[in-house]
Amino acid sequence: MTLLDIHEPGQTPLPHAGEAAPAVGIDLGTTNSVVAVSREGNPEALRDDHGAALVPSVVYYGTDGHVEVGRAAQARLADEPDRIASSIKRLMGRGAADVTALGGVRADVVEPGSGETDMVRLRIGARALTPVEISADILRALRGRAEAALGRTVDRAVVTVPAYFDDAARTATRDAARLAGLEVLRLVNEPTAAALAYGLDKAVEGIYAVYDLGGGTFDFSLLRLESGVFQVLATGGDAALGGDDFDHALAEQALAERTARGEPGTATAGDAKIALMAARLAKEALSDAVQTRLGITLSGTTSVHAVDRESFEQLIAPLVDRTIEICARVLADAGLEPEDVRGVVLVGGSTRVPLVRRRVAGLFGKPPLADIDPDEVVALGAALQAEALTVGSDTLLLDVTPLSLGIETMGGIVEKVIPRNTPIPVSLAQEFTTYQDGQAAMALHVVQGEREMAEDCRSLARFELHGIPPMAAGAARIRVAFTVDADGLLTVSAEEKTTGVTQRVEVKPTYGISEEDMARMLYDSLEHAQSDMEGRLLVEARVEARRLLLALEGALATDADLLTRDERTDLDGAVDRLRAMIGATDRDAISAAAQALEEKSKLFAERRMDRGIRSALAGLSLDQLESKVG
Amino acid sequence: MAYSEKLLDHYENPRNIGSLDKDAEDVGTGLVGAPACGDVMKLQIKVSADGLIEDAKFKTFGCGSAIASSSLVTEWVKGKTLEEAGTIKNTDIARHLALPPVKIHCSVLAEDAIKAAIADFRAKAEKKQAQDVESKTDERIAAAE
Amino acid sequence: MTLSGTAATACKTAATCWSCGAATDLAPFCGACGVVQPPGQSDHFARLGLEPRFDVDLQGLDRRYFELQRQLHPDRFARKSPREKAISQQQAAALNEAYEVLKTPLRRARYLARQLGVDLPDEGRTIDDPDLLMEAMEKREALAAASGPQAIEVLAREAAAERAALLQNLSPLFAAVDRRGVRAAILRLAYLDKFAEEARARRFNAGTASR
Repeated sequence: MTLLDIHEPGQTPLPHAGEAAPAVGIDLGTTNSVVAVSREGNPEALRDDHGAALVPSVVYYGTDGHVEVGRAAQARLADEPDRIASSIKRLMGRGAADVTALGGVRADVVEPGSGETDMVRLRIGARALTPVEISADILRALRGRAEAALGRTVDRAVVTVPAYFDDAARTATRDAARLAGLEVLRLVNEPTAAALAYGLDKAVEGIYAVYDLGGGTFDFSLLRLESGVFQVLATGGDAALGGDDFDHALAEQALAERTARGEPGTATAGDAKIALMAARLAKEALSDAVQTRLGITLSGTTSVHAVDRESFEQLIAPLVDRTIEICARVLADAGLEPEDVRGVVLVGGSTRVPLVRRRVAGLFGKPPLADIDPDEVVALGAALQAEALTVGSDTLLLDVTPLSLGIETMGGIVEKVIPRNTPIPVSLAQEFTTYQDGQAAMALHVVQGEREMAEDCRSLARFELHGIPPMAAGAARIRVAFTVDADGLLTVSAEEKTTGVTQRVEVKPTYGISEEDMARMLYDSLEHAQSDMEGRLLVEARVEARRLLLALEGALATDADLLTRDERTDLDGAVDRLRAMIGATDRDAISAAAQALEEKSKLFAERRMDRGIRSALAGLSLDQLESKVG
Repeated sequence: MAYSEKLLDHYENPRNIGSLDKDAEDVGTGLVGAPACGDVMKLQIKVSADGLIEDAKFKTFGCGSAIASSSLVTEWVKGKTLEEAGTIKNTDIARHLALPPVKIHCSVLAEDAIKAAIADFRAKAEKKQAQDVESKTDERIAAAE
Repeated sequence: MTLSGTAATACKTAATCWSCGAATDLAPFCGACGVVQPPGQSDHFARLGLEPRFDVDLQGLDRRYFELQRQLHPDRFARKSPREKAISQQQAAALNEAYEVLKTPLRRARYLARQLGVDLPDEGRTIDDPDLLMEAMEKREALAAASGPQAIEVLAREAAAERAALLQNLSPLFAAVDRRGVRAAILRLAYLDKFAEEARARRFNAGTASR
């Protein structure tokens, strides 16, 4: 294969193995995920052999430890629902208690053991997995797809998150990428990424709104676009509202009908997943049809439920209303009226629901824009940003904090330190003091949210400052600095200002993964690596095969005349055999076909080398030739 | 870090919200405001003939701590003499409600409000006394004529 | 979220470039080697290249802000050393702070007033303007009593008109260094801004309830 890789100095007609691979953009969605890459400002979603860009965010964990992601995992839902993890994004950065509050019974949630952080774990087969580990499996699959498509190792990515994701969920996303062997160049907010994909080729100016209703999250952002700058003016959303809730509503209705008819209901978490999947299919059908049928098979009994669009819309109207209320609040935050918005971009698969489109059009008094596939637009924007960060770009994203950050003080009241919609990066400090004479320690509780009382906000971390020298109440000056970086991630530091006493900081991340857990997970992923390794070898074989095909294609484009007709036919035959094999899952067969092709192309490669040397030497004087050789 | 039950209670179930007739002779009104955040607080007392505060009302547009502070003060002053009510200190309010350091200014505002209400009542009373003296003199002059 | 102990605070306004040692003139980049420099304690107006006065051309402010963020935002430093990345974050944060203060009239007025030595009352003391207090109380009571979105809208418009007039008046007060006038106007502006915020919240709630 290396034999084919000869070309003139300074000319690189083909991707080169030694060259740094492009960074990719990843939309890690609740229902579907997409990976994309951008070259010279042209983003493109990477597809599988069937041309599908969407990878269902579904993971199957086999009894033998092997892992499947996407359509293959989805296909196992009916037979082995208990070994499937789906809609995992809704659980990112959440505690077990939050999950119960999300509604719906989740039989697969594992109670946290003592000493563990409160991060939720799901029981899948014999394993208890965190959402971070499951998301990492999805990211590994996306990485594999990118490597197969690009023919190179991919280890850097821009990953998108809902704008309304809190710090814990952002951190969880970054940890998942790390676990999947990806360096996160930047976490970009999904609506901002979508705006980037829309704004670039159209050179639009003015205020635009992005309405992003995905499977599990809702975001609404207002941006000002001006000469390549994407300035987010305000953002808002609900990290637990999406198309999944439409499915829930439909499924619950159908299940109620079943029980009324005396048919068996859902007994297990797996049954619930089957009912939800049926509801989803019905919902999707209702985007085009005015009525459809919803079929559920549980415990061997199949029931069929007629649903029409009108009753479906009545069912989901309160949920859609909630998104419209959020839009109104964000407009008020930005001090804008709906008329000020020049265009509304629709993002997320759930914006295909006709009621959603009607309500958005109604609020803004104009039809929304949906000319880029709402399922792919976020990944395309992420790919553009990945290119901007690694290669360079004229565009600039200026984003904001979605939620206020504050500290719980005595009495349970939140003192806001950084208000929502503050441009990031941001660094702000606030001074706190002691409230008792001789107080030597101070507990600080960092929260995120808009409510007055800490118990109504999201808990991010608790830490204690020790070694405050004995002073009268109110005399100590403790400066607590909050920094939110361009990823929207928070760092807190604290110092006591009146003395030089060193502070000790204790951290108990409320829903985070500790470094030890991270190390264990990395270790586990090696333990379970048998299947991973097999998958990885398969990917590598495919990568190698594609690289060979590409190289040969390039060589034939310039030097096909070096081959006789028979030789060419022979070579083409080997090419076809390899192409046919590449989509298969048999690694050895792919490698064998690749080896056969390499063998067949050897003669061609040698002839090219001769020609290459001749042309390199042509036109050189003897002196030059000597110095070249010497 | 325990929540302050008292603070929550006064925040969620504020006592004595409302207004008294600010022009009435037996009513004193204190009106104060925070310069930084735009909070306003009105605290009114109704004083009986024997100098006891028989009723108190407040109206506060501001944060939870400001509402709780003013609510607490109206509770405390009822049945007290003006002198007793005048000794209420913001530190007492802050301690009772377990106010956080950053919200101490709310208790200061409440202290200022009760002081202002007492001062207003006293000013009215003095004015009335002066008027009474004046009108009695007038009567005497009229009688003499 | 990560936590660090006593923060390594940014270097004081360094007179020399941390990278090449050449003298710097507080510019964001070293004139000699072109490496980004820590933000230092610059005045907000100076940071955005503006004259320190109350009248600010908001379009010009935006333009200048975008121009500087294009050079200083961490996205521009993705391929640079960790130290440069960290400094760019400090620079971008300092720029954001300056922009936010100058963009918002009340914050800009307070910032400028402090520079002029105006004695602005801190938290914890009541303001000493009985007329303003009476007015603020009455308006807030009227807002609380307003029954529908229309009634709220009328009150909000009145307050917005008063605010616009007040802002118009602030410029000459600042120009004449009328400290008492500036102080009174800033106190009033704080109340009008708070009123506007409450009116927005009320209007939003009324709108939600009517749906």
